[in-house]
Formats: sequence, structure tokens, C-alpha cells
Amino acid sequence: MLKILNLEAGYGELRVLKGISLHVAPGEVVTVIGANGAGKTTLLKTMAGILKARCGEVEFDKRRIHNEPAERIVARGCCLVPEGRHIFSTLTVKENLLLGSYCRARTFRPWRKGPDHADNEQSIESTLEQVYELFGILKERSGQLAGTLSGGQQQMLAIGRALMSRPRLLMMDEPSLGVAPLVVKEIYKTIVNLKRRGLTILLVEQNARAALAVADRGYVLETGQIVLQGTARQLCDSPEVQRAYLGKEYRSIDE
Amino acid sequence: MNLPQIVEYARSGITVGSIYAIVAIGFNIIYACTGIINFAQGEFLIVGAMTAISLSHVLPLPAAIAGAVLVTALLGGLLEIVFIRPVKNASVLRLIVVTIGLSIVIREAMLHLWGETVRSLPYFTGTAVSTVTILGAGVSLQVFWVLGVSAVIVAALTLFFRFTLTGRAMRACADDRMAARLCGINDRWMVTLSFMLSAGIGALAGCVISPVTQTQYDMGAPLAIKGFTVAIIGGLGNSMGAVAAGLFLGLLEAFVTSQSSAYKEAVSIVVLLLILVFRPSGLFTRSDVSALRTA
Ligand SMILES: Nc1ncnc2c1ncn2[C@@H]1O[C@H](COP(=O)(O)OP(=O)(O)OP(=O)(O)O)[C@@H](O)[C@H]1O
Ligand SMILES: [Mg+2]
Repeated sequence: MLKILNLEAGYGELRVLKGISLHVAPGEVVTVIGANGAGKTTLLKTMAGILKARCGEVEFDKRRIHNEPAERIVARGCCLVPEGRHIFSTLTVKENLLLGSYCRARTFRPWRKGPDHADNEQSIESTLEQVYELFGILKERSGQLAGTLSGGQQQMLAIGRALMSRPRLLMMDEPSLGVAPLVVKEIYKTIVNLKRRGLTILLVEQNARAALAVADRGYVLETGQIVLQGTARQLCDSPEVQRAYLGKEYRSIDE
Repeated sequence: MNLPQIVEYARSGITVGSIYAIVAIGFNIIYACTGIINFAQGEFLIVGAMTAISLSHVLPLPAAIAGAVLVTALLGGLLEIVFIRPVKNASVLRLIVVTIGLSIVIREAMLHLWGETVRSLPYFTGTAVSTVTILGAGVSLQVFWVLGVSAVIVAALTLFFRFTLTGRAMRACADDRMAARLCGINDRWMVTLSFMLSAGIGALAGCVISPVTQTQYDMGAPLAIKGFTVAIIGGLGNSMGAVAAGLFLGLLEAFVTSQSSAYKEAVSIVVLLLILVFRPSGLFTRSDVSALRTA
């Protein structure tokens, strides 16, 4: 479904991604783990069209999307939940969610033919109901300004807003960042839930333990390069991952 | 001061005040969307009025005004696409300088097109002398047009931003540009739209005051300064604040002028300085919302 080939990107002079290749098959949950500054966010922003790729290819549904603007990539069904949530804090919860389906509300979208084309208010309304079902708290707080939600609720809102676009590929950038352990659990339960419904997910995390627990496969990103890849099981068992990301080796050194 | 005099000053204060408010709302729309203070905002009023005056020779008045609003809105959009959008490494300051340049260019263009002649649209209803008597003072019918149109503009904008998808998308852009793009909102068009909207509203305001204040090619800049002061007093980006602040400044000016006309222009500058020193977030800003903005 998603194929990235030799992708390079950065900021100004700074080269952050140094040739990344990875793929995600339909229905899979794939995780990219890496330390601070490895380039995880840069990778997702490039795929979402916020940053320009310097070189390489991003293919989504057999279409090259690396030159397309962010707005069109969402409309194609590839949606990013950005790091740090980025909800619209001066808008209400419901307005946030409705804006999530902005790309579906317009009828004139020549590049998006097919069954989704005739999306209408009714189907947006039904997606809204689904999101409310997934995160009950959002329904309770639908009239509240989003900025007044707690951190965990804001993360749920960010995910809910992305789901409103009815993505086929959902990209998430550190959904557990700055969220209490109990809420992390809830968010990960939702991810499993979404996976069961057949949603394809690309999950970027520093919290390797949580991510590998729900993922089918994973990649390890270090200073802009993929250094390791494999099934979630393989990564969990690999000594490098255990030492660097799961913090297991330390104990045996201490002992 | 006797009662009719007070009514007279209040009338003039409220009339100019509501126009200041509309100019300030024009500032606010663009500021919220882009962080730019558009110093060509005053020129939009004059372009609108001048176009309406020219069109009114061949069209009935309502059609001439509608045409002028449309033309000015398109002009606003065009200027944004041609002069603002392509600026590379656009810092807000650089873009503000561009708008100052634009205001000069528009002013000179108007001088060429319409000359230095002072013109005006006809009174919308009745004539210059038809008045309504309120508490012993005669109030021109056009004053009610100014107030009515201002109120309609404010109400329509509020509804637009609150309840339409495009309006919400513009607020989303103002709140978080990147997140708006991730929702599929084309932020560049939202910016263009904000320029069109401010230009159109400015043009309408320019038309309704034209019969009262007359219109000349270089009257935009002073209006822009007053509108800017009002926008700052009301809190940048806050439309209801702009209305309150507009009426406040208009009335203050009117009553200060009643004591000594020498201080008229000084009033707004003094108020502006006081606000900037003591309450830079504006007099009428809701602290909870502004806290969310900076968060
Ligand atoms: N806007 C920016 N301008 C310049 N450099 C940036 C910018 N954003 C990130 N960088 C740099 O790019 C590198 C990769 O950053 P990135 O945000 O992709 O890392 P990350 O893997 O997401 O880290 P974290 O886990 O902390 O979120 C870092 O060295 C960072 O300093
Ligand atoms: Mg990151």
C-alpha cells in the first residue's frame, strides 16, 4: 500500500533522512522506532507532504505522492496525526472533528474519483458517530474548546480528527508522548481496535515496548537511516533493540 | 453642552466609530490568517467607493455598490496572489513592508485613474438634508445606513466563521497552519480568501460612508491608522473587541473634538500608545482565548 524508496529530506542545509526505504502492506501495523532526533518526525512530515523530499520516492496505492501538496495527500486517504497533537485549540471539539473531514466535504475533487467521490454530509455524520463511539469523552466534550482538554483527551481528539478523513493509511507520530500511562494504554487499545477493523497503520514511537506490542513489523531508525528491520517478534528478541530501546541489558550489567 | 449637542457628537462618534470598527475587522481577518498587518486596508475602502461612484453613472446604486465590492474583493485576492504569495522566506515583517508598498502603489494608481477630485456617492435614501430628529438633534438618514451595514457585516462574519465549513477552515488556518494542511485545507487559498474578504468588506464600508465623509484618493491612510488603533485596542484578531473599540475611539474623538478640534488626530495616537504600554493584548481580549492562542 505504501512504498518508500531511498527517501532523502531535511531542513535547509541539514540532511536528516539519508536514503530511507520501507513499505507497508494493506492491513498491517508497522512501527518505526528510534531515539530523539533520529528523524522519525521528519520522515512522517515528508510523507504527509509538509516537507519536500529531496530525492527518492513515496508511492501510495501505486501512485507517486512525494511531489503532491499535503492537502491532496490527505484526500487520497493517507493521513498524519502529528507529533504534539496540533489540535485547533481555539475551536470546539466538534469543530475540530468536522474539519478532519474537510477533504471529504468538497464535491469537486477531480483526482479523487471512485466510490468515495459522492461523499456527503450523511456519511460524514456517520463517521462522526463512529469516532464518538471510539472515544466517548469527545462526545461528552463536543462543545468545549479543544485547548481546554487534558493532554490525553487532546491526543484522542487528534486521532479522532484524523479518522474523520476516513484514511486508508493512518500515520501516527508518538501518540504516547506526554500522556499518562493509563491513557497510553487506552490509546493503544484503540490502535489494536482500529487494526482489527482493517485499518493500515504506520506508527512512529520512542516508546518501543508499546509500539512493538501492537505492531506486525518494525523498522529501527538511527540518524536518518534504517539500521534494522523485521517482524515485531524478531525486533523484540534482537539484542540491539533490547539494549537501546527496551532497556533490558542494563540489568544484566548491573548484576 | 446641551442635549442636542451631545446627541450630535454621539452621532458623529458612533458613525465614524463603526467605520473604524469595520476597518479594524478587515485588519483582523488577515492578521488572524497570516499574522500580517495589511497596511493597504484603508486603500480598499477608497477603491471600493471610487469604483462604486464610477459604476453609479451607468448602473443603479445597489448594483454599482455590489459591483464595487466584487471588483475590490477580486483586486484584494489578485494582489495577494501576485505580491504576497510568491515572497520567498516570507517573514511577517517582510510581508508587512510589502503591504505598505502596495498601499502606496494603489494610492498612486487611484490618483491616475480618478484624479484629485473629491467625489461622493449619492445618499442611499433621501438627500443630504433629510434627517430624523432624535432628542432635538437632526440625524442624517445615511447614519442609519452606516450603522445598519456595519451591524450586518459583523453579524454575517460571525455566522460565516462560526457555522460554515470554509469559515471554520479559515479559523483552523489561523490557529495552526500545519494542522490545517494535514486536514486537507489548502492554506494558500485561505490566505487569498482572507484578503478577498477584507477587501470586499472594506469596499462596502467605503461605499456607505462616502455620502457622509466624501471620498478622495488619499483618504485611505488615515482610515487605516484609525482602524489599526482600533484593532489594537480591541485585541488583534478579536472582532467583537473591534466593534467595542471602534465605538469607544469614535466617541472619544468626537467629544475631545467638541472641546478643542486641535486634539482630534492626537486622540487615537495617545490611546494607541497607552494600550501598547499598559495592555498590549487589547482592552477587550478574553484572557482564556488568548491563553489558548499562545499555547
Ligand atoms: N524545523 C526544523 N528545522 C531544522 N532542523 C530540524 C527541524 N526539525 C527537526 N530538525 C532536526 O532534524 C533532526 C531530526 O528531527 P526529528 O524531529 O525528525 O527527530 P525525531 O526522530 O522525530 O525525534 P523525537 O523523538 O525527539 O521526536 C534533528 O537533528 C532536529 O534537530
Ligand atoms: Mg519526533
